[in-house]
Amino acid sequence: MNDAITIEKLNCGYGSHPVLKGVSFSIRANEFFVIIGPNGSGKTTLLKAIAQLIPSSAGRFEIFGKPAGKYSIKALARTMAFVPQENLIDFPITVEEFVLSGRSPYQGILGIPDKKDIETARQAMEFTGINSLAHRKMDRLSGGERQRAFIAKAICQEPRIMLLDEPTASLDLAHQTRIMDLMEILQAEKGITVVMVSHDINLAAMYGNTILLLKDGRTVGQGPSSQILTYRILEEAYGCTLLVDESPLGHFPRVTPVPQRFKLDIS
Amino acid sequence: MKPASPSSLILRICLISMLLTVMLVCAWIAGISVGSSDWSLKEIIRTITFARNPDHALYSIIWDIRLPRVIMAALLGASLSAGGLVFQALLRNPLAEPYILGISGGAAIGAILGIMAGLAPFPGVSLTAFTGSAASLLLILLMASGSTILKNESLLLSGVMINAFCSAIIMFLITITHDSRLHSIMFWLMGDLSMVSMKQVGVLAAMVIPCFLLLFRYTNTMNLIVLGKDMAHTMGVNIRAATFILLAVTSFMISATVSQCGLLGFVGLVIPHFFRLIIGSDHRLLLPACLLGGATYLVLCDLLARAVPAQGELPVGVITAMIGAPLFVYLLKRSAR
Repeated sequence: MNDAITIEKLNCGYGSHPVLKGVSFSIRANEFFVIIGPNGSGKTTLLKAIAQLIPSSAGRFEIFGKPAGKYSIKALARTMAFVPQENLIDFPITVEEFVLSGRSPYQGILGIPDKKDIETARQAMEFTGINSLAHRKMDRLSGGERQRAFIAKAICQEPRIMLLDEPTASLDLAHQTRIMDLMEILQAEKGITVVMVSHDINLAAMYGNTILLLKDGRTVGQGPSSQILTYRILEEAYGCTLLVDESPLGHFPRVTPVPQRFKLDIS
Repeated sequence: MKPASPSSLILRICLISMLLTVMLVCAWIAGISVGSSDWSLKEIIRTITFARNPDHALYSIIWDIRLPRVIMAALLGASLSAGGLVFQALLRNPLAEPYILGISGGAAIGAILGIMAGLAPFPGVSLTAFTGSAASLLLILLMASGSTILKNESLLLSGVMINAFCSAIIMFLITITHDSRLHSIMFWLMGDLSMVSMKQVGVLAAMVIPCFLLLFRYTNTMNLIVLGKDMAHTMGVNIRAATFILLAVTSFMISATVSQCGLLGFVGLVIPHFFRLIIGSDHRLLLPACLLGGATYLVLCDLLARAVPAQGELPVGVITAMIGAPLFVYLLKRSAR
């Protein structure tokens, strides 16, 4: 299968402080790829480097076989959509206007929408279940509603790759699975490659085809959850006691952090 | 508002522009009609439409005094409102106004030095003011050219510092001035339209109208910028280039404006908010609305400044804030409900 993203020896940092130190990995087309790792391991930096939001240097950085530097900003916007972690919008823009703005990489300089743009936006809102919110203001939505609006906007870009930075952070359980289910459907039915940074190892295990584990700006491992989410690797990476067993839902690992008071019993 | 159909956006832009143009023309007519000498509306219209020979006394009153003044007021109102709109979007800060990056401070120092040197208001003081604002503009662009261009806080803080430094110098200059020039300085600092010539209007128009057109090209870009710079970039906006162009064009426009009329406050802060409350936050609608609405607002305020009986007349800056602030608070209260 073709690779959506190939990265070799990626270095990236802020000023003189290196965050990513020679990260190499590849993301296959149409897979659900989850990046995990402890705080400060460089997950978000990696996602932003993929989105070309911060400068990076790499031995090789290709998107669908073409060097990333050869994409124009607009071509990049038609290939990858980005859902940021921070999604507050202070301006009183309506949900519909916001979702429709996802069409801008396809539009002229003034962004006058045509029939297809409006139809795409309508379908995206239907898909994410925010039709009824179309005329609400973005700054008046709940966290879950706002996240779905951001995903609808990303769908409007008709990207081949969707990048998401902790899309389930600060959402309740129902919204967490709802967002993850949406992404799974996008991957399965629309053939979108999903690349997601997540804090939640169990969500990563349940939805991800491939897990990339980062620590201190280096790759610890890449592979299916059964290979990466093992007791030995995780404890090494996170530096805490964990219990790993099989999820009652199927053949993927379930990770439980162990509170201090239980630790004596285990050892 | 109804769901957008492809043509409805263009339709709305035209509709809003037409409505506000009519209002502006009405304001102009009112502005030309009112003055220290009374003439009937019919006489005035006949004069404007060249139906009367140029020897009439009204001819020079209208063509040399009132007409330049109302056109000037419109240009100033338009560019200050548009400047506020752009800065609010660019800095993603609703408190931003055209003077926030320190352009006004430089212009004020230049103008005060010009007045102290005894120069005529035009072109003398205008030129020194423009030199001053150009100096601060250069300083802003220099600060913005590094990596700080994408960090709103550092740009804002630098602007506040330039303004603070300039205020200190302004205070110093005022303290060492004693004669009638002090009065001229105070009027300049409050914004004054009492000495406007057609030539001055022409100079300003040539400077700001190209800026208006250029800004319109970037209205959809502004729509994306307010979503956040990362978002805009991943949606196809060359954010560094767009930021730089918007910053440079707007600063130039404001420099030109300020150097002609002094520090007219308030218009640039409130007109953009006023229209956001009414027509939403699509900059493709907001820019024409701010240009025409800001123009109308200032023409009307200037009309009041002339009509209110005072020793001579009031500086128009006093009126813009006196009416605008309560009106805005009222609208804000109503929209919060």
